[in-house]
Amino acid sequence: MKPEQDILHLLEKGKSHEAMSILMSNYKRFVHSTAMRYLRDDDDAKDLTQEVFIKAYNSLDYFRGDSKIQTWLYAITRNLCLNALDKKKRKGNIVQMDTLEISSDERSDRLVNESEFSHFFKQCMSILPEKQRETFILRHVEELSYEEISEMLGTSIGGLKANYFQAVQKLSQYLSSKKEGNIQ
Amino acid sequence: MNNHERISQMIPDYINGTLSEVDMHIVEKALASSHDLQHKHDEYVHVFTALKKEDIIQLMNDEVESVDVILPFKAKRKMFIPKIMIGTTTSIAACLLLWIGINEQTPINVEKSDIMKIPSIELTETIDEYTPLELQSEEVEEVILDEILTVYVSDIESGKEINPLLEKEITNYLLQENADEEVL
Repeated sequence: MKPEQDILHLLEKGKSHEAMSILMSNYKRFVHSTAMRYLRDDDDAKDLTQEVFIKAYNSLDYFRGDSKIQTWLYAITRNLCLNALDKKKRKGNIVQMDTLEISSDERSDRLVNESEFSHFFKQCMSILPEKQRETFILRHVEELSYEEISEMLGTSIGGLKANYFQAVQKLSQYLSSKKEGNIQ
Repeated sequence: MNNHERISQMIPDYINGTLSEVDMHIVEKALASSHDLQHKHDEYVHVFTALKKEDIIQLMNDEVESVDVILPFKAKRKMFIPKIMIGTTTSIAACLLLWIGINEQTPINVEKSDIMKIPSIELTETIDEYTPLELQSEEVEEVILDEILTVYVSDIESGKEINPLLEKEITNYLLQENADEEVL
């Protein structure tokens, strides 16, 4: 049985705590990585993951499987992230994701703490605008269909296909320039 | 969008094997006949090789490992308990504790017949209409204490033997009350 079916089955039986355990073990990575892409801060992403699951737990009894669990969780995560970013923006301590530039000192510091791939992946993602980055991850990593992504992001399927292609194209150009030594 | 652009856009999904069979054939045909498309194909393959899905998932899993989600206990619906029940239960509990306390102080070698029987109270008048007092738990406690104190005082006056524990408890209670009054 798929986790989605397991969860719905347990919910029908009124076992919301057990349903929640399966939900967390299957979607913790998804929620955290989504939060991480939006917030760009590990501590904030961890706190938000906790918040997402508490919110999901409190409204789990009302979930009847009209949409996919992943879509539902994505909507909660996205809303909470946007709220958190809005709060940060008002406080004036937000770092714009799309224009994130890493200084050479910061870069070398980070390399010590992070694995090489982690650093490379974050660099690659930082060159993509939000919609392209989200589409790339949801399509390439989460292997979701364009229909599912369309429901999550509220973008047309045609628009998503274009976003995905542009993301791949930009990454390809970025990797070529990196290979030629134009980017460290 | 011309045919060349349309097929270019399909290449990322072709590489990941997420195209329909019909579209796969269209892309394969186009790749075989166009060097430009073949070149793009190779570039995009490089992107997906550099950003392997498995590596990204591994990275996300490593990041989420330290995330602990603690779910709160769901608040159960509060049971409605009438105030009178709370008061009654408290009074019964107080009487029981008092009774146990007094009983435990009764010496073992004392015969049952030696224990003074509680005199039965006979009503001199018959009350036709009896309306019970609605007392709060604090009021009930006060009534019980007043009763105990009255018995205690009358016992002292008549020169009867006083239960030492009861005497100690009453002394403590009176001292406490005096201290409270002083504080006030």
